[in-house]
Amino acid sequence: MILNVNGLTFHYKSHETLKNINFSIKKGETTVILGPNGVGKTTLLKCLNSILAPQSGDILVKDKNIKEMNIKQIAKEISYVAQKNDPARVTAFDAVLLGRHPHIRFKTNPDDLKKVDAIIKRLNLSHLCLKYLDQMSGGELQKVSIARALVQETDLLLLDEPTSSLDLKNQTDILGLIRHIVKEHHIAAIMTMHDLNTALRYADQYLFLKDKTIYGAGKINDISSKMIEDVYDVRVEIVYHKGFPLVVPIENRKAA
Amino acid sequence: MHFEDGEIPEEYSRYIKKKTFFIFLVFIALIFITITSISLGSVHIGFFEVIKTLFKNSSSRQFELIIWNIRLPQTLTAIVAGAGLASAGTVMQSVLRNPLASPFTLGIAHAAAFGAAFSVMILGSGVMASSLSDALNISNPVVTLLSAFFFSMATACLITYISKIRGASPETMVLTGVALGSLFMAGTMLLQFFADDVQLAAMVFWTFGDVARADWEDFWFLFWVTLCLLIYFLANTKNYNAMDMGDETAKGLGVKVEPVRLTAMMAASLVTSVIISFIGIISFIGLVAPHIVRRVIGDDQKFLMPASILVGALILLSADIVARLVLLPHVLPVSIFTSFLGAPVFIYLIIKGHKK
Repeated sequence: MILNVNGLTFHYKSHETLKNINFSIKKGETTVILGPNGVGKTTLLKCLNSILAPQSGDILVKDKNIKEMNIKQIAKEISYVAQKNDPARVTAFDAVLLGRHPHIRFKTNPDDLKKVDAIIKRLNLSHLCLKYLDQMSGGELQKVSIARALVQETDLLLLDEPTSSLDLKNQTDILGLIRHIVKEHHIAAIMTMHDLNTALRYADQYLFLKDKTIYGAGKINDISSKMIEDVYDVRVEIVYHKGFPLVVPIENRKAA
Repeated sequence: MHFEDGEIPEEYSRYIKKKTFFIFLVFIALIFITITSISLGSVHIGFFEVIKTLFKNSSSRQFELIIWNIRLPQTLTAIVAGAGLASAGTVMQSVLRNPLASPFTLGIAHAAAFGAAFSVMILGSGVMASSLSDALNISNPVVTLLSAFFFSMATACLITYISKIRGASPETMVLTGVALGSLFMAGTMLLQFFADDVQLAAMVFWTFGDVARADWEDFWFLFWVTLCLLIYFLANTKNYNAMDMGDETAKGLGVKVEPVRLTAMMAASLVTSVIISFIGIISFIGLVAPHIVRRVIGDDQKFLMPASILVGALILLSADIVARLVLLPHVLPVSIFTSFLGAPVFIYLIIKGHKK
């Protein structure tokens, strides 16, 4: 197990957002956190790498409690791709190089630069190397953020809605890439997502949040229409097209 | 996870060299302008004569007196003040992620000026005279500085707090700065109202920022405080770079965002306070210098910070030369010229939108 979460509870001031969350994550798997808007998916993700501090519960990364680690040590184990990235006037290369921040003590050394180059090539971003972030499209920016998270060389990737602002081509590119890297390097990824069909297609494990806690978790192929109906309060049918599961809402059709 | 090693791309190395070359160029220009600044004034001293005098090899006792007692402290003060204000502006723009931020636009400069005036008048940390060349002689720089720092820090804390409120746009922060600036200006006016004639003349003159009033003693105090803070800023550029990507990303990269932001704002307020206590309000250097540099070499703080520091020094020194020469024999305060330069840049930034 790379990650164990036991009894996590989080509240913003007096408003309870998450209560008694328990789950664990294995290496080599992509897990997707699903649930309706405002249920606390992003909050849960931010608790996992101490961006937010949960009021109670333990988070163990490779059996080490993150409460006993400082923020730099956590950054060596867990990398995080935020939903929103500010496009500064910095080149893609420099932006990716920031991923080495937790590992650099005083000065960037040639090894760091070489690692950045390797990732940039791996993600086919070489043509963007010296382009400023504020001149990039949403898809390019997202790829740069993922490259930065990868160059951090952690065993756990957290991605907050990695495809929310992307077109179909970029969505499939990025999710395919994440899935591939997770398998190839035997690491783990956890992402939050809205689109059930994309989740069914690219994740190995699911985690449904409902009413501030975990409604269900398991293998992605075990998701049933009953679960989706319970969590989202919408009637759906899961149909198979060329072997791929598709979630089709049926309530809307009636209304129309 | 471990990726196979790549190589250092040649185009990237070239790009880095280009930025280093820009910094080198500004440095050379600064040396050139420094010697020009020492050479020009009501008495013209030749370029080579200046260099000879600086190396204590002068033939003229008169030149020696002018250079060592008048021109050199003034020139060096302009360099240090320009560098300090530019660094404060650069760091504020970065940690507040607000391209319109600077000590002047956020009201921090006015707060420091009020604090210094308060200390001089009420706490008696300075002696005022009606002579324009030496309107104010600060007898207790530490008390003056602490008072200026106290008020500027209070303002900085308030601005930092407002920046954390969800959806506080750069404009909101600047408007808050305008409100706070007016408040402190009113406070300074209140002090002026109760001042006697001599004090009033001194205070009014003092509100025009002017680098000519610093003597060697003032200069060294200014120099050491500013130098320490510049070193602090330069040592933290890595953190500021990460924070430019957004708070959450920075935290994910192992940066303690809140403490870094707060100490950066404290340090920027301190450097602003020390400069304003000694030479008065100098507007817009903190805003203009980083923007000029950003146009040329981008946001990477490793280069942006040192280049802004040098460009800030260059701008203030050049403005000071113009202020000294344009209406000879009258010598104008330099802040008038930095405003002429800064106001259009500020308006341009507002029209262009606030993308950094």
